[in-house]
Amino acid sequence: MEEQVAKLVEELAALKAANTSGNTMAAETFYYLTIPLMVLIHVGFLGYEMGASRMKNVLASGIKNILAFAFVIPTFYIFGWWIYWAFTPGFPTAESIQTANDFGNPVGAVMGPNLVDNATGVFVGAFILFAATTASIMSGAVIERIRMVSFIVLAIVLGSVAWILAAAWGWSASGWLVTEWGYHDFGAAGVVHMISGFFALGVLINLGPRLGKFNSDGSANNIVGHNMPLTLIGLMTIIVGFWGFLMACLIYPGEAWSWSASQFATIYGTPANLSAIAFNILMGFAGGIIGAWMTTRDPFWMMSGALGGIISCAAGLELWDPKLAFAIAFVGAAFIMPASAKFIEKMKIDDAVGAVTVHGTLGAYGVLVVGIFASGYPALSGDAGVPLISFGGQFVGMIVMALVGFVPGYVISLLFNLVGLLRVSEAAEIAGLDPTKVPASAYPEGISPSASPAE
Amino acid sequence: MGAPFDTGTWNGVADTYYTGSGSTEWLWLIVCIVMLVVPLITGNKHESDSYKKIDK
Repeated sequence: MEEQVAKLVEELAALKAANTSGNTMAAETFYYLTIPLMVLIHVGFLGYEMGASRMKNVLASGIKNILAFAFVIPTFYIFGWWIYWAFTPGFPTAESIQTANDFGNPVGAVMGPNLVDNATGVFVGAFILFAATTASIMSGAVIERIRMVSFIVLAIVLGSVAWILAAAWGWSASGWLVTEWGYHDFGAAGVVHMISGFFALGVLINLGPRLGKFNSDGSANNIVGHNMPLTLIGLMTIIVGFWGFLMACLIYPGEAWSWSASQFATIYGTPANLSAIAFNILMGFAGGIIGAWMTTRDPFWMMSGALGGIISCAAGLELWDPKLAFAIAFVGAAFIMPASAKFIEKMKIDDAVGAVTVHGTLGAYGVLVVGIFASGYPALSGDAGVPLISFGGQFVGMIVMALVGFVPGYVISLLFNLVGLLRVSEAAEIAGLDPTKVPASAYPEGISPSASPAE
Repeated sequence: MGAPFDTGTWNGVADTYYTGSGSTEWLWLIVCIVMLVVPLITGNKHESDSYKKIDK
């Protein structure tokens, strides 16, 4: 009898170990798969940006986008991940620096292959893809006239410093915006989209419009990209990648670092699941397209509306009644998006792909609607007494996100502009960036070129 | 509107938790249907006007 009991205990221990190991590998695989899904965001941005460029600038736009991705990867590895851990209290404390050194030291044991660590590599990978997304968002806004190296430095500041600082403050259960204000931003409408949109706005103010965008009487010309179908497919590909992006916003259960033994959670530790976000991604996507179709009839803005619809719903993506998610996306894409684009153009800001509008303005709207329709939810897990989501907290978060995005974008591009390194020469802009500096041809057999009326 | 519970904690929340759960579903359903029908009506008008213009 004793022998049988001992054998059963042994079998139970083996089963338990196998189950634990299986869960660990499932969690690792879950985050690993979000990475190639998020690479699709960059495939999309690449096509979108090249399609929105004129034929003479296609490859230069593509190179810029690819390099932003490449430079953000090592810089985020070197200091971005460390910033995330160090800055959660607002500014680093001895304790947060110790945590950052434990989890984000680029010369430490956790930041490389390690057989007892199945999490850090896939977490850092997912965060790097978030970071690269911010740089790609800015990349589209500044096409056809920005100097490459200045752009790369701006992309590094945005992707490896600005957004991750915002994430430390508002996209972490220890972030001061969350613990003190109950800020809620599940799908990063603020920490990714607003930061990128407002950073791009700061750069665009110093960069100025493309030649021929505005007439002397203040009216604007529509500078048409050379390949609208490529732009539309690019936008749809970004949507595919968003599934990976939003999936990576969930914390897998059952691990030592998990919030729960059996339930997915948000990054704040509050409960959620894949089903919740599947409902609302789809409804946001549809609401955005239909809303934009109703007011613009323009396929570019319809697909931007798809993106904008999801962004409008992103901050409260796991909380919405799906029908409300549809309405939020519809209103954002039908009314707020065109009004914002019109206002930005009226300010004589040449945002070539509508990045400020889609990511900045609709990101801000997405953050605020959580305060309007989702107030009262606990912002963190734990017993009664944790901060609650409120309009005031979301408003404060929105202001912080706007500033953390805008200020570095404006200041650094201003410095580049002062030393003459921000913008290409007028001659190069007129000739086109591809014939000026790219040792390859996009369309060697030629297609009809497009040009702005002023050219 | 807002959270469908006012306990100030997620402890004990075990099933539906979406905004307005148990109270505003019909409101948002109607809003949603309106937002589907109105674009179809205005879209039809836009399309008819465009065809009429080209027929002239």
